[in-house]
Amino acid sequence: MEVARPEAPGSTLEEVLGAHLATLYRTARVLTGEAHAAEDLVQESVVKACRAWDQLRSAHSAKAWLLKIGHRTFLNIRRDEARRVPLVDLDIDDEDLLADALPTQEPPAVDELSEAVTVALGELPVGFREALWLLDVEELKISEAAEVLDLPPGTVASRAHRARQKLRVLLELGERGGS
Amino acid sequence: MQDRCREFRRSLLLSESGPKPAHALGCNRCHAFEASLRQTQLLVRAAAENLQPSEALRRRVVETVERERSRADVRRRTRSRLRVGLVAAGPVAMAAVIVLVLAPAWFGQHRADKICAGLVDDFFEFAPAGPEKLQVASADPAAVEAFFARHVRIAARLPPLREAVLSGGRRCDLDGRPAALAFFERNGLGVATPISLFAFEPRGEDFSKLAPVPSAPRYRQLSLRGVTVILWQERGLVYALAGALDAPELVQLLEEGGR
Repeated sequence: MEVARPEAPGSTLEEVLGAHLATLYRTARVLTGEAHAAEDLVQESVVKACRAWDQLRSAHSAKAWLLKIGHRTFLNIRRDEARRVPLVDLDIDDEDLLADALPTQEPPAVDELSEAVTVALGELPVGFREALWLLDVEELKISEAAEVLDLPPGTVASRAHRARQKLRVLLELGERGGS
Repeated sequence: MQDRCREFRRSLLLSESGPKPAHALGCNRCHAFEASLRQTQLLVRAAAENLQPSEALRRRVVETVERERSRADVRRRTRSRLRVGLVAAGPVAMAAVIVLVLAPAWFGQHRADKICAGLVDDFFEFAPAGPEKLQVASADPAAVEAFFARHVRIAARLPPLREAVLSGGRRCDLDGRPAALAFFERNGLGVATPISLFAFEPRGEDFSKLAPVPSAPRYRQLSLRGVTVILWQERGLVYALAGALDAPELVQLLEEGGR
């Protein structure tokens, strides 16, 4: 596990975890919606990362690699719990998806909304909020998020935007208008 | 929705390098669409700032990495030892194969030699078959066979021997196993010649190294201390006929006994 990656000399598992542990935890938190479950998910993911360390091709892709391990670990846990992750394929050309977004009121200060956003995220289907999170918070490219989620890029983009739309409704930030 | 708006919003959602500002600035509805998207992103990012791993989790992660590293070391050492062991085991395995292939033959021959020596010893020990040597005194083969069935636990068949009289039998011990020993006396030319017939279960002995009797190859023969023994197998038992005769004569006694 001490083996350095050729593309980034000196890169070790500790360094990768040091750089991306917060990312992994935040994503785990969004996936599980609960702090203790998120910590367990992180720990389980770290175990798998240790064992799969030799499979990391490049330190530059370490973040997506770690998130993919977290995603798959989460799916495994869900499967073990006999619960299904709702997977819905969406079409990026769906008219409803591209419909106008018209804020009806001025949003409150960001700080005041943070907790409400966290709660609202928990109400989104897990596949949607994960796509949203990877794109908008962890700032993965769509291609990277697609790799993490094992989904086509268009599906990732449409899920993320569905999540945004739903989130705005839940936060009463605005309602969609007609096209 | 116009095609330009649709194309703009589609590229906005799929773009990895940012939307085209020209259309967004010129179209209020698309501008609002983009602003809404950016606002939501900001809100979610702000919420994310509150989600930080605790110190306890960081410690757990460090411990997990150390534990996994330790296990990996153990696995690596085990594999290394296994490789060394496999290399070292090569000659041992070769030796084991040689032993497994050759040992049975060697032991089989070795035990056959011991049996043969025991046959001759017992022939001398029990012949001539005085009354004190007999456990069952009978000229009736069926009675002696019944004795063997009860006391030796084998179904030995006693063949009639030409010019020889059955006098009885006893249980003896051949190389640690029970054997049936029947006593005959051949009266020819006015001289009583003791003949012993042994029957026992084989235990992997290899009698094939003994020379076959030329006139009757199914019988194997050996001569030891002036005693001739012929051996053959029949119905799962080894029979041995021992006496101070030569092998063809012993075979003749058997073949012409005609029960």
